[in-house]
Amino acid sequence: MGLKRKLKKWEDAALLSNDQAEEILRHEKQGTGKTYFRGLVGLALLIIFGGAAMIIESNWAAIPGNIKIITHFAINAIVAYVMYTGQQTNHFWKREGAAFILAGLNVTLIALIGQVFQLNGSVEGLLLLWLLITTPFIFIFGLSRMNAILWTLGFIITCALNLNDLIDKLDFLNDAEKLSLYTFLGVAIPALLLIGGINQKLQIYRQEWQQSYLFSGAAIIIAIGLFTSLSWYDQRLLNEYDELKWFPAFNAVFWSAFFFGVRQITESTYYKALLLMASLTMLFLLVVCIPGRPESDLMSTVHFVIYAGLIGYFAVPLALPALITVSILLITIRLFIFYLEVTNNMAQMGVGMLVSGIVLLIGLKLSLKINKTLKAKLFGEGAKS
Amino acid sequence: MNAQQLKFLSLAALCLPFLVLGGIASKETLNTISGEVWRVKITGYDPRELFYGRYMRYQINWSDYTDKKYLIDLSQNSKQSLCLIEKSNSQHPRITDAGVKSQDATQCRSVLIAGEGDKYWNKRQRKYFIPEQYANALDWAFARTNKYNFEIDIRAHDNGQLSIGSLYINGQPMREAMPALTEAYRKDQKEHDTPATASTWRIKMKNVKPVYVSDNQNCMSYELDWGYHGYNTPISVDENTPSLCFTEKETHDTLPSIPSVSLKTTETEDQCESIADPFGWGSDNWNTNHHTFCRSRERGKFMLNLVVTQNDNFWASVKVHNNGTLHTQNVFIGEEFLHKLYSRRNQ
Repeated sequence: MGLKRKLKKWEDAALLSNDQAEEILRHEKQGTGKTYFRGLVGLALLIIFGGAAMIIESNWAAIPGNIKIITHFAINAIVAYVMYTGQQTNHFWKREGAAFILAGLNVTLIALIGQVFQLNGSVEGLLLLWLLITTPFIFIFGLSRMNAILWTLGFIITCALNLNDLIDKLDFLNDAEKLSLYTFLGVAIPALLLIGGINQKLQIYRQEWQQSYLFSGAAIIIAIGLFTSLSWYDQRLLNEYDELKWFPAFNAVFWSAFFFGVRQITESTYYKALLLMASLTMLFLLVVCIPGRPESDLMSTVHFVIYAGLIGYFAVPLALPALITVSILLITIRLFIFYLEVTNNMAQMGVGMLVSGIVLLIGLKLSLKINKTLKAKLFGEGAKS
Repeated sequence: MNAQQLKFLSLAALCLPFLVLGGIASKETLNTISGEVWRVKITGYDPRELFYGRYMRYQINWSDYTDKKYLIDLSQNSKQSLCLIEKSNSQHPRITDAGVKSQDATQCRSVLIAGEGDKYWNKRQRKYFIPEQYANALDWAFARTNKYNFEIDIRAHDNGQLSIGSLYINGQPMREAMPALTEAYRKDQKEHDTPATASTWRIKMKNVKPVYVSDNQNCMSYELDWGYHGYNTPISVDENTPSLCFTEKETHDTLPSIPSVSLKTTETEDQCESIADPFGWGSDNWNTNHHTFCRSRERGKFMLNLVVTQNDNFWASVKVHNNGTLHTQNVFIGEEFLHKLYSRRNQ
């Protein structure tokens, strides 16, 4: 149904006044025009870049290495100039778009230098160098969500790829000490993101960055919580820590206390809830330390379901109704996987799929109901109807 | 922060990538024009990397350049320094000594020190980035060590480190060698794509040994007994390894013929009914030292029983393809197919 007809319908139902409908129509007309125009400009630029890239690609091997590098530097310089003038003239898209492109061009330039001079570089080394040289300018010039997400993703991937490698180089540590350091820093990264995310100054000056830190930090913490349930499949995990068998317990308690401590000095109820969720998640890490722990599919499922339930519980204080849906979906999928683990023929699997499907439908129905109640609680009585 | 400070910070942040990457590029450019140039042989294979594109994974054959193979530690963990002196009329080095100290190094043209990383001689697995459009042809050529000789230039610097220079194929710079090589590659692919004109031969097997793989899978390892068929030279895997020429020696109504095998030469080439090439890689070559043949479950167990009781009576039905590769299709015990023996036992 067209917008005009929709507005007419709403006007007839006395949901909108005639003036409001006309105002909406005028606004949408302006917006649509701009969107189409921007879209066509984008398409034209894409075609031009595509054409240029194809010409370069077709002669790539014939172009001498130093020419490739000089040309790449020149392109970077042009984009950097656009970004700088964008900042000076306060042109949002010029600055943000150029910052995004320059960050990407830095990756390709590092790779090109590595290629031309046969530097034998690794992907993790490339990303580490990229992060070091890109962070200052993207933080200063990139205020948008697009750039915040780009940097946060780059940071997480760089950490994930480099952490093991860097710790491995610490020759004075034995394997158990390296594993301990690895698990400790593995939690330190999302902790750093969460602490960055609740920083007041960041919230004022870089709101999109703050949101990106909070989201990625919380997502990693949740992933850790869910992933920990897999420990039930291997009872020998604790032996890997050798003489440092106390470390997993220390790690769990330390980070739990850390998040809880930060929670105590935080004023916002939203951050308090987030930090409590992180603190409780860390306690789930204690599973590794349970003495005489059996290897059990059932316990892994129970662990997963309890933790997914906990995520759902935090939907209320975090004002995120979607967490309930996520929680129910996770529980259903895990139950289905458990069913697959304990059954092995096609007929039983078929029954499992039928049951899981029904559980999912009931779960979703339930989540819709909870969602409504939750919205009513969060946004007032009106949301209930 | 005032506007002036912000402007200064913005410019500094903007310049950082240019300064760092410009610095790296300048330093590496300097490295390509300084230092002593040596040319060394390489061998390896060709994988791919997400960011950097196609490359050849190679190692430098340092052992080709020394008579003291057993005195010099050429391993990745080596702590020795290498003393390089020039061979007469050649860019190839000669390694005269290991463990040289800088003060004793006056007789060396270059000294390469060991360390961790690509700038040190003892790095084993190296990468050489190659243009995407040459990648398939180079990959093909790199595996044919008997036909294509790969070398690279290294530059030995005063600080004992090295940097990598150009790639050479059969003595020609890569760019010059590529047209002919690409043509040879295309020709080979064309032959490969044409319907197979393979011939099947019966070859004697030797050193047949059982190999345990799993409860469900049983294998045997074996060698093809070329000596039985008339070719007695020990098997080698290098550029001098020849191709073999197959001619019919003994025919049979229902079984593949037993061949007479000899060295392929330009004179005998026309008389060969099949030619097996030594590509040096994979298991589809005549000069592969150990082949394996596997059968699953009961059939595999039956096969291993025969390995114990009739070890000297194993023959392979070998298909020799027109592209020079070969593979074992089936196994005979004497003149009886393995699977027929198995079926008969179960009747």
